[in-house]
Amino acid sequence: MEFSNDKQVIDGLADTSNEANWHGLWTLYSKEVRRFATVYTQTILAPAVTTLLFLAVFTLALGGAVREVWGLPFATFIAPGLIMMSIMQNAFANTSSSMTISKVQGNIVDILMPPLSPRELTIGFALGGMTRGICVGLFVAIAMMFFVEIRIAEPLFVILFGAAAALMLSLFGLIGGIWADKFDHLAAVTNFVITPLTFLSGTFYSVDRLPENWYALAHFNPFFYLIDGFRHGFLGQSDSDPWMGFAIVMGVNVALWALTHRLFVSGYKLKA
Amino acid sequence: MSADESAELIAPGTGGSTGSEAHGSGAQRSGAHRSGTQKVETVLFPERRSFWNPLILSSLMRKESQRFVSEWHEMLLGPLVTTGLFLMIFEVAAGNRVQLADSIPLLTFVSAGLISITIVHGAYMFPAASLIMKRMDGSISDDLMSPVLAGEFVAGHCIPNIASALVTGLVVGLVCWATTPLGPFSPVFLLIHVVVGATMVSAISLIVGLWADKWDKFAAVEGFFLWPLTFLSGAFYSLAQLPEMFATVLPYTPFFMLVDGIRFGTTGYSEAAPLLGPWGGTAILAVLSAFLLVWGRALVRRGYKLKA
Repeated sequence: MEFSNDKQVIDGLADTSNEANWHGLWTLYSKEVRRFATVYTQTILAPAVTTLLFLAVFTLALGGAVREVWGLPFATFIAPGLIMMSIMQNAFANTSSSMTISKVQGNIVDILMPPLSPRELTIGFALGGMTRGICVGLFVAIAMMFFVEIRIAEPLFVILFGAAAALMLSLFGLIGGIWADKFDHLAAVTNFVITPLTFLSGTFYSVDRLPENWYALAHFNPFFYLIDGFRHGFLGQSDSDPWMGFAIVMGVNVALWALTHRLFVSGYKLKA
Repeated sequence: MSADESAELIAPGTGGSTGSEAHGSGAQRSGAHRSGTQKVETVLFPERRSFWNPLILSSLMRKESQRFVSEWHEMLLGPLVTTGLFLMIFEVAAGNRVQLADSIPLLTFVSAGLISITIVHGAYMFPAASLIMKRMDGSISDDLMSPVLAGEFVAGHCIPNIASALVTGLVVGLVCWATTPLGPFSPVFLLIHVVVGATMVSAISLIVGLWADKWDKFAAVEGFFLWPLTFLSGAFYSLAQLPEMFATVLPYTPFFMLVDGIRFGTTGYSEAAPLLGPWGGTAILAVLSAFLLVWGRALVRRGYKLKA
């Protein structure tokens, strides 16, 4: 094997054959899945408990006074939002922690050395994050069924927006994980970007209750369209048109995918 | 007695206690002699002195403080942002339409819950994280080799953490006060109550830090035990909104006493059991803290999971 510091040679080696490395892609994906599946207590059960806790607490705290939103009981209203929140937070956590832990511990070479093209890297990680997001979402939804009346008006939107949300947050997580040098940076991104955007995008309230400026601002937040469309799939009503929301969301996803792919190709903060 | 026993192990035959012959020679003994044997309790932190040494204690505390003093702004910003978000959500979702029992605005009621969450989270983080990290690093040997008493060990790990939890709670409280009017304060009660509460959670954290050999366990205790107990203990809702059964039992649980005490200190509104009142809650928390601290100290002294 030739070891070379020349970037073009390294990239050339990775793309030696024009065929996709299916076996490698599958290996990367299954590594990512096993990474969270073996510690499912921490990765699936704990988030589910936290989400159910939120459901109980917010229903008790707000549901008493705000008895009905859109003609539905408060718990039924916030349930889809909470499921979506768990999908988003866990998809983000999976990819971002994977990347950052690999960088900090030094086993990022395990990803860079094998003959995986940047496209395969992106696909593998993104799908891994999506899998965790969707697993947690499913688990939370099933657990909620025991407590809250969950009815699905349009399953298509549920599937589309659920997948789109998991993908978007996986990609955010990848970008964040690649950028972060220490866990502190990652915590900062989670606390100051992801959490506020998630909380303020209409999970707990309908955005038509917001004052003028905030209402307009909410429409610039891609998470708003995710939660809104997902809720439309459950309840049949939403603040904005779901198809427009889906178009916006997929546009954001395409942009994020291109950015992530670009990051892997250039090796930004991954290769010295 | 234990100091004598460990001294016996080092220099056999020099003491005159009952079991010294049995230990000193190491030869096979019959059952009759065995009855005179004292069980050796191996102690990691034998009491070589009776009083705490202020220099040793302050050095240990300074070392533990450095863990978070260098990043205090990050430590404060996280809870601030989360608190701000929660306040905003409550404001938008229910706003001033909601009047809980005794006509307290929702935000005022909820502020106490937010302060409690901040204090519990802050007080839980550092003793356990410090111990687990040191154990994984191997730098636990620095603490074990130094001539600290077990009590100093516990105090040195818990006191900086309590202080930091108080500061974070205070900052969050100020943010809440800026957002919504907080009612009549009881400063003395609040101070005592918050110190006692933070001590209790720190003691829990210390014991968990001793017990957890992996981060999983640390996270599990926080996620499945502390968070649920704090959230479900009336942080955001009043007892009046719970079904009968819970409403009668809950005032006797420690975490409810914690949240309720903070609410009483900041707003003068309390839902404590009539038998106890807010001060009774503080007293019970103090007893619990004392028990946990003594237990923690005993575990440290024995070297539970600290020595190989």
